[in-house]
Amino acid sequence: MDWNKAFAGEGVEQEVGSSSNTATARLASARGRRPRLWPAWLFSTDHKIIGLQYLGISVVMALVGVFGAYVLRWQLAFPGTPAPLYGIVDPGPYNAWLTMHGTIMMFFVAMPLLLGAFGNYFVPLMVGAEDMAFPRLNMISVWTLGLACLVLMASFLVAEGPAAAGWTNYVPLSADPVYTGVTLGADLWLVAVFLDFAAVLMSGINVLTTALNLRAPGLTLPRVPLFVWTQVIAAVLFLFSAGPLMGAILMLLSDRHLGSGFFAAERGGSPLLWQHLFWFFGHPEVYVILLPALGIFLEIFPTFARRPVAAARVIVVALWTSAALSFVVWAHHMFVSGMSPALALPFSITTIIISVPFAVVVFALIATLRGGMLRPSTAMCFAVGGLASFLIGGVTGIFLGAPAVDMYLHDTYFVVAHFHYTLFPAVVLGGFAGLYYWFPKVTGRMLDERLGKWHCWCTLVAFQAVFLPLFFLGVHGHMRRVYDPSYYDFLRPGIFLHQMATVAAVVLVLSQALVVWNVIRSLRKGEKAPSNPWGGTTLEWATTSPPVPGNFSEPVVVAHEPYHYTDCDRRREPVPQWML
Amino acid sequence: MAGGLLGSMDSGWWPRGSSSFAAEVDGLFFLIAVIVGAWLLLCQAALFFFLWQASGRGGPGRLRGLQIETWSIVTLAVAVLACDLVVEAYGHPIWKLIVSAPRGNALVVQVQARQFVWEIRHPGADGRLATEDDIEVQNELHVPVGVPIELHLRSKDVIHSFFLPTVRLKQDVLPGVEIRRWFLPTRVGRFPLACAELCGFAHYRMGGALIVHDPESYQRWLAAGATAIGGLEQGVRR
Ligand SMILES: [Cu+2]
Ligand SMILES: [Cu+2]
Ligand SMILES: [Cu+2]
Repeated sequence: MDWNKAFAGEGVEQEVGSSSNTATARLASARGRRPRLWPAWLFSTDHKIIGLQYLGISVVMALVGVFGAYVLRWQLAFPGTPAPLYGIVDPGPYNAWLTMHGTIMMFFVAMPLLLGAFGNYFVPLMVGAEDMAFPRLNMISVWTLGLACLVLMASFLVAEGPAAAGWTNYVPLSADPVYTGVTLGADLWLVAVFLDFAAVLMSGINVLTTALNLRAPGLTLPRVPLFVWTQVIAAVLFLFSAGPLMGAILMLLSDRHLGSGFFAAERGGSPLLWQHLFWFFGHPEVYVILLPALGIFLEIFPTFARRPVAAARVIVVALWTSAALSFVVWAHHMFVSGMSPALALPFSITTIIISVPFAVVVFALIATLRGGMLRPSTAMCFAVGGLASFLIGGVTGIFLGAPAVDMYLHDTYFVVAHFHYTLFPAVVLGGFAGLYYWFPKVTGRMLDERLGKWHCWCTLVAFQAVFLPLFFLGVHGHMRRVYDPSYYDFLRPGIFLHQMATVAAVVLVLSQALVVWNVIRSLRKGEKAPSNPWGGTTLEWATTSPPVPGNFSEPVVVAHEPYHYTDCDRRREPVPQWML
Repeated sequence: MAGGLLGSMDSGWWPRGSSSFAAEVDGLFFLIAVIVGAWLLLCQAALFFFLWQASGRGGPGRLRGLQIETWSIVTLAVAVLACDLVVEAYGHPIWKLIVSAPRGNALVVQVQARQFVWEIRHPGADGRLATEDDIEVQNELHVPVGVPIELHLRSKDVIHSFFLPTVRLKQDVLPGVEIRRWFLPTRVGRFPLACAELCGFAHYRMGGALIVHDPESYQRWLAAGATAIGGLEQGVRR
């Protein structure tokens, strides 16, 4: 079978593919002949290359988002003093940075990383397909995301700077320039987010079609790996939830420029409508990010504990249940918004009950270690640390789901700490778990495990030190998005907690040098990776590391469910899905 | 040491309540803390126990009992559901109490928010709003202790959020709508008032004070307010 036909950088790729099967070889030759290969790489429709393009975009955007976090944290800890590498933080730019930090991290880092990079690279591999269902759409998707990033970054260059109404972009604050002093920046924000969503929609359609239609023979739905399930559910969630917010964005642009009044009280509209549309999208969005991260944990746990995932089918049911429930919880963000207080009861019940499916997933992950034979690794370190941290994020959500307590904690640092304890474990810890797990597959090189363990422990400890103090600030009534906490007498005693968090945040950022160094070192002279270095059971381990163009050099047939192990001779051996 | 550090905050790490329903809210908070704290400990303990067990040397642990595993997980999830319903059943009456109409004769105070000021209109000695003797003060809410207060909240421009931490009351203030909330101050003193919703570049400076008077000092404040139109004290921050 001629796999190269399916592989689209066409001529160039074919030529290289025939001389060598490895992506490193391709990259190495790309280095030598950049003028010809660089455009081929850029215009590639190969899901693996597009996955890496998504990864590149999310890393670059993360640098901006993290820098924003640093500016904010500096101002909170040392109000009014010049931040090194930045200078004095003024209230206007402070609001712009808090807006951009949230926007970038949610839409331009978390989604491109977990859906774009991991989803693109591994869904086709794990279902045994040679590429995505619609390779060209895939390329358009990553291009659209690139355009969205340029539009968003352009807002740093326009006269009044970027949008400054928070990542939730509440109206009327965001609707009229008189309130924030931002004109063009606010429009660029709306356009960038719209384009970003269009990109993720295209990518979601691809993931969904690929997982449903391009599965290898024998890969029946019950045999589909859990990571693929989480990607599918995330795609479905995004497809159903993005529309309302994209519509709302167009309505807001129309309010701003065409004189309509969808969200303007004085023109017969409703400011609360924006909040409803935003959070109808916003809560599923959290799961769009969270589920793929849980999917990564669900792959890593069985591989390194060397035993089947506990209650794997119940997990799939639980994930779908959480996805369905996520569409009927949105108003928990609005208990004190001025909507009818009577709505609090139904939304509070659905919100609190959504803890049940997640409890199932968490219990199953924990049970997956029972009777396991642990093979310690950096990927497992991040996965266990991610689960342990996510638990804190999960349980603190219950406080906010109870309206009477939410009335006190809403819009305080308790909320900030809560969602960072859910999103950081998902995006950063989940992302690193996936990186250490799949790096050998992608590059054909092993990462250094000793450096990796140091990186894991530094990241885990520093993360707790950044965000645990914020719970205490929140419980003390500290409002979020406050430029200078020393303005309030009752907040001044808590500033030492801000200082703790800021110092820890700097340590957290600096300790990422460990992974940067590890990756560079491994790419240059890392140990060669075998095709299945960890004893994984899913299909991505069936092919070479890195995968050949077209993914599999011979057709794969799936014989049974994933996460299968046998005990023989006091050793436990994986039984891969493709083993007949 | 941590206790000492936290104790150094002006009213401890958990600000003492100053309203009739603060104790209920705090009670709900601690009920949830106990329930989720127990689950959190249980999960972390199980996670690290199994991790320790799995990293033990020797041959493979037994891989039996997978069926029982599934049932245990489902049973535990049902237990989580039961805890959820306890929280809901305990919490809902408290929410209803907070958002219901005030009991008895409440003193009505009008709060109008705009970027970045709370304009607060108090009834004068006649106890009624929209009369000659209304007292308007910026960023200060003056109330007598032990009398239910009904707030009529509105905004002139963007969304603000009227936040009285010690009262455990927070309410977004919207343009175009008047929202009513009540509370009953139970302690005399000066308490923080803040804006909790991002409302522009000076959001962080939209603070003020809730001043709860004993009956005599309230009378004095009323008398002074009646002579000095527009309020006797300049709006003081915090
Ligand atoms: Cu939500
Ligand atoms: Cu305000
Ligand atoms: Cu504000």
